[in-house]
Amino acid sequence: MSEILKTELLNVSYGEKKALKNISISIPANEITALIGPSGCGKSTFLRVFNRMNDFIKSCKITGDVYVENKQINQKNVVVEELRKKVGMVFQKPNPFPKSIFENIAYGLKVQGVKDKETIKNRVEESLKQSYLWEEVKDTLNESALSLSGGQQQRLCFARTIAIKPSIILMDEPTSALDPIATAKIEELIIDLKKDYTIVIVTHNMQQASRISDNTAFFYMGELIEYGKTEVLFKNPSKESTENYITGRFG
Amino acid sequence: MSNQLHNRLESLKSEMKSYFDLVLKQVEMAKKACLDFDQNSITKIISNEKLVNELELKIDDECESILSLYNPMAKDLRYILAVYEINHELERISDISDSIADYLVLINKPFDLDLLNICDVDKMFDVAKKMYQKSISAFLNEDTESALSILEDDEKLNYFNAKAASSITDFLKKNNYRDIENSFFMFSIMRKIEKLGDHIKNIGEEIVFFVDSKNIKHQDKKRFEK
Amino acid sequence: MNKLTKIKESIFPPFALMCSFIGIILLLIFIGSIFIDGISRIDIDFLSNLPSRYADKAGILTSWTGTIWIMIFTALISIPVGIGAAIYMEEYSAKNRFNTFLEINISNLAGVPSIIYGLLGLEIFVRLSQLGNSVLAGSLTLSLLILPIIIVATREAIKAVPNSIRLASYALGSSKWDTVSNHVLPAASGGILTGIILAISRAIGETAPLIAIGALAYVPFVPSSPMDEFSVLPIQIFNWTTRPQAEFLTNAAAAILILLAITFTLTGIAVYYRNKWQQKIG
Repeated sequence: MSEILKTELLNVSYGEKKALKNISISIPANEITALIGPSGCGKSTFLRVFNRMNDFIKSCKITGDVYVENKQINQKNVVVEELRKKVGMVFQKPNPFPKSIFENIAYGLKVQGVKDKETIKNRVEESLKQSYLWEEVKDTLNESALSLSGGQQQRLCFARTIAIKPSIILMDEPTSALDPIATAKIEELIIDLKKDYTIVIVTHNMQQASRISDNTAFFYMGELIEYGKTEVLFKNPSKESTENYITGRFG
Repeated sequence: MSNQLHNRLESLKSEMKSYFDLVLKQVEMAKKACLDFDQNSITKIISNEKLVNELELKIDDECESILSLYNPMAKDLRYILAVYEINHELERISDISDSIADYLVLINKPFDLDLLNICDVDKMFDVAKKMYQKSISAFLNEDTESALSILEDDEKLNYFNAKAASSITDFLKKNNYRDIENSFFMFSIMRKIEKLGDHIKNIGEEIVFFVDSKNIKHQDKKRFEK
Repeated sequence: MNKLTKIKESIFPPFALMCSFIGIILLLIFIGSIFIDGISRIDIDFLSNLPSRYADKAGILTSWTGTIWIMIFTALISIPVGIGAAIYMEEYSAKNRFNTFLEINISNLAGVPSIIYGLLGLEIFVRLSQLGNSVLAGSLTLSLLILPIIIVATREAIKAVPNSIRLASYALGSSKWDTVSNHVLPAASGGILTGIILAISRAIGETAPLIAIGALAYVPFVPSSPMDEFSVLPIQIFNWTTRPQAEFLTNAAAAILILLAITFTLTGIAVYYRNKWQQKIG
């Protein structure tokens, strides 16, 4: 199993506060890796390292090595826009553009430089089908994305991300703002996406991590406490703090 | 709603079916070994034990995985709890067959036909086998009526077992008290078949539990006739 | 206690209603009386005549064409500069002490009396840049005046765009400019257009700064280039109201109606487009 994402002695701080300490981890391709841990443990910060979205936080300082597809990305000469086309992201609260459903997805393609109208049309359809949204919106593609329900909007955000065919998709608590049925639909979608993409998902819902992921990493107070196959970690964690977290004794 | 959970429950079900079938063969072979002193059956029962034990551990592990990963609820949860118990009952059923085979190895000769007839051992095996087959179909089809009828069938085995002492005494009297040692073994085997019936009855109770959420252990069975 | 609250409850709504309507009623009374005075004076001659010492021959041709010229050039100068400055301040500049200082001062400029702008324009545009009393000088002066309005409104509109939209755009690999032009500006367009409407409406009505830079009431021609001298409706109106003859007051009333008509038409068009744009986006 190739390691598509890797960090070595990664340290992240916001001003004086240390958010991540000496994180070294390898994440395999075409699998779902879940990041769990109590609030403030650094899991979202860690996620954002891979597409350099922490750059938007002024006080954020990063040291250590971060590799995406075996290339160092934590350096000045890296073209961040190209990185983000390879490493997509879905956010906690659905954030479709205030444009039509079609334009939401077409935008990413235009940024990539796709100009041919037929190609754009086909890719929009393809990604909506992959996100299980096509049947619900195929006749209303020109209506505003904001008229969709929360669950539909989030599926649209997925479609928007996969339309540009990244190799990795980062998901920051993608279902925490949704109802159980919408959540279940998206979990099905995520499992489906595994065959074409590598997925890293932050979730504060442990049951979600155990349901859908292949590997799980447990973060606590900025440190990586335990990382391994999900089935092993949930049946018999090797660290006491992992066990305490999973059994609900703290956090 | 979760496909993952249901897929694993389905494969657990087929795993259980294979296990049921394997243990059924053990029981059938135990009957053949006992009634016909069939050497083949005796050797096979003993050699299958390893496989039986491995399957038990495998199903145990799968139940643990499903519980820890998927948090099954309601009927799914009861199903896992029932399967966990049934798994162990099946292992004990196979164990009984194995110990019957061990006895025959020890005795090293067939039982007297007369003894077998007086004790109705063949009938006991048949009742047990019928109960067992009912339990398989009740489990796979979630049929509580069938499961409850197993409890009634068990009464028959109890009846045969209760007669054991007097039947064997009759035989000994008739045959000038020869083959006393074998008679002891026969007595023991009849006890074992009755125990086997108890285990199948337990399986029936577990089936009623997971389908109807009713715990009917230790209760008067007549109250649950539908 | 309860009774007092009840009394307050029953008094407040009608009171608030009265407050709301007083302004509107006064405005309607004012417009109504102007209307009565001036409507009869408006005819083709009035609209196409040059100014004159004789009230019945005097027209507003140079004034309303001057107003249009000033309006167009002011818009051309102030809108790009204002929006550009706002975009720079909101999206590109670092949030440090110097920039904060700059921002506070720009907001303060909106409160500076317009005559000051007139004097500033006189020195910088008319004399130093040697533009004379031209449309260009007038437009530049008015642009300075309304720039803070546009900048503040645009900045508020940009600030109101949720950051989640920017992040979504960046996460797809967009550059900063792509994000601003494709998402931030369209989403902020409602607020920006509102700001522009307010600013241009203010500019149309300004009298003092234009007088300061030398726009005259008696300009016997229609401007044909930005370097030409000019007059505007407010100056013409002001000039006529200072004449003793009653006919000039009628002229003034008529000119006011024309000025109001231009203002309302302009505002109406802008509001229409703002609503149209917002529906498409929202």
